[in-house]
Amino acid sequence: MLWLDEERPKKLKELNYHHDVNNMLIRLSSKNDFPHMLFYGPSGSGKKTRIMAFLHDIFGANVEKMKSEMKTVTVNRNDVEIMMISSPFHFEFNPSDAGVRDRHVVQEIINEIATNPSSGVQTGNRPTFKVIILNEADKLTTAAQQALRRTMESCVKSARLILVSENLSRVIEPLRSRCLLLRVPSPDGIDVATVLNDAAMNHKVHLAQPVVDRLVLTAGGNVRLALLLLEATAINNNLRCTPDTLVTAPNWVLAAESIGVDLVKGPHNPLALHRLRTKTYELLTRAIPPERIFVLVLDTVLRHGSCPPAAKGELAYWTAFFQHRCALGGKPVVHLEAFYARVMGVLAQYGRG
Amino acid sequence: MSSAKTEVPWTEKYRPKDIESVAHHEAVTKMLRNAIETGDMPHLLFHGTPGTGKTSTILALCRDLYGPKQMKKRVLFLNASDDRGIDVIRTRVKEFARIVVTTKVEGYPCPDYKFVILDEADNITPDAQSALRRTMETCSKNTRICLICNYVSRIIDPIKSRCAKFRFQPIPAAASLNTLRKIARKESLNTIDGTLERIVSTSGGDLRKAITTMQTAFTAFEMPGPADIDTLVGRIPDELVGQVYRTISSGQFDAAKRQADELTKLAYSVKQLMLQMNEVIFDDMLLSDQAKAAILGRMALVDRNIQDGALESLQLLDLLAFIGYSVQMDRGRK
Repeated sequence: MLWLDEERPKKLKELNYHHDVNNMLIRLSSKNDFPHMLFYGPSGSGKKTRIMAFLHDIFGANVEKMKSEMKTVTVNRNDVEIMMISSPFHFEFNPSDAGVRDRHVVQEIINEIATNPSSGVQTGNRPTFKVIILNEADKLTTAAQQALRRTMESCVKSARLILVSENLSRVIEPLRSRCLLLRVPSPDGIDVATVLNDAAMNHKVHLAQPVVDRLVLTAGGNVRLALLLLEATAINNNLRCTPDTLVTAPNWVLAAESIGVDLVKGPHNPLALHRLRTKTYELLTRAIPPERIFVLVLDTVLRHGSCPPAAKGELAYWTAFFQHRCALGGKPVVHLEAFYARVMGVLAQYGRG
Repeated sequence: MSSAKTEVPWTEKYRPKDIESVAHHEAVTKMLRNAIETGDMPHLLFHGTPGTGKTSTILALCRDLYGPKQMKKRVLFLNASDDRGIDVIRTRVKEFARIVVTTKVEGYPCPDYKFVILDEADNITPDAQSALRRTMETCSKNTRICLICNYVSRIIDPIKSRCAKFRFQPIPAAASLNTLRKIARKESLNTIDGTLERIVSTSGGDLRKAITTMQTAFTAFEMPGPADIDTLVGRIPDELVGQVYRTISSGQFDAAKRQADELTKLAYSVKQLMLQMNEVIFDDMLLSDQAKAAILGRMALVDRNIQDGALESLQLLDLLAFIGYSVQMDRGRK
């Protein structure tokens, strides 16, 4: 078991940052009833941990008895397979797995769950409804989101939806207004450090303060990443992290950063561009999302000492421009290379001037 | 403790039961009452922004016509959650239109026609709308169709010309506030001064949104105050927006970058930020109209890009850097 999973707080009381959100959840769980909810925040900020702790407090430990199964939904005589994780009290799936057919899948599954009375064991004063967790709600097509509007109102007796999303802008207003919005920001450095120190103590790791600082800096507010890095660093150093212990960022981050460094250092010519293709393909074949590459490359270029300050605004503009094109288009490598070429052009122009 | 139960959404619980109690649409209700009395009911097309009472009006109208018991037999209600391709229009609507119902109920006018309500009609494909044209004419003997939509421009012309159009204006703040107060009294909620007012002002004339916000507010907080409402609707604290604007106005790219990173970590919605930044920029008397126009233009672009699925953090950085640059250039010119 990864340390990440061992350290995950099981109950709302064990959560150790964002107390305003936690307190609201505690208050809701004590009422045994809650509205539809929408959790939003950057990845690794603790959205899912809060949801599971919330469900644990309401339904008891059985929520953790999860099984995963492939669920087949027939849409216009085509079968769509969806990975569904479920406990006696809740269901969880990624509707975006269904691609353009997500509208039908969402309707089908929610209607099925909402119309079948709860089969879970009913004891005490637990609520009788089921909980449906929809991950990546912002990746749902607009049609699917439209379809949810009415469903959310009509299913409220038998099911509650919990939507999870990285950002709010792509969730349509009618859905937002039907949910309790819960913002889960990235924890700040001190909070991440606390989590790391607790984890180190639980696993008998000697952790020097400078290492903690390095871990926090590398993870940048992503607690999941911070814990993974801690485990990797600790194991590589036989559980003793002295002040000189170095923290290595994940390989793919280093690879993306090296692209940025190459871009700043030059030379700015077609041959150099061609050399970046190998690195880019290596990242893409490891299923690194292209938008992460855009962000990392831009950050590296901006941070680099020899990047002319006057060029920065333009670099930011072109990154946003090509990332947008990339999201619309089909082949990421085309847009990434166009982006590199533009960065080279801008840098060459400002470098000379 | 407040009795804010989520079992029944208040938007459903407090939907007006008859056409008299529909909030603030005197002109529309008067015409509809006329139509009931004369028995001369046209096909209807309701359009207007969300939460202005379009669905409530037609449901109340049907209840007035048929009474609660007959409604199920006489009214076919389809919305975007139901499958509404061309097949559904052809089969379900036509079949429903074919059935002749003549049962009368004591105390209700019960005219010979039935109602087909197509809610959220702007999501019906143009093909399916075309299929509707013929149906509307052939079935008009015993069926009336009511289309409800947000954007009348998405309804094809032949349909528009077959309907009596009603525009629903956003509900004025005073009327919304009245409705909220009524609900608060019925649910015996303890309200703090200013909370309901804030709910109304953040809802922008959308009564459903106001009522939903109110219900979630009283479920999530014991005694919600105006600041809690801001949290609920995802509004960014005004001080933060002002501070971001002041910081980036230096025109330094690095300042914009720091602010963008910070906002991304805080997970505020970029669209919300743009809405509020808009107000701040309008209020900045020192900024020239040209600069304001340029910034608005860039905001529109960013909004579109985000809608297309572009990464918010990159768009945000670009926007903040652009605003900073424009403000700085503008000040330099004077």
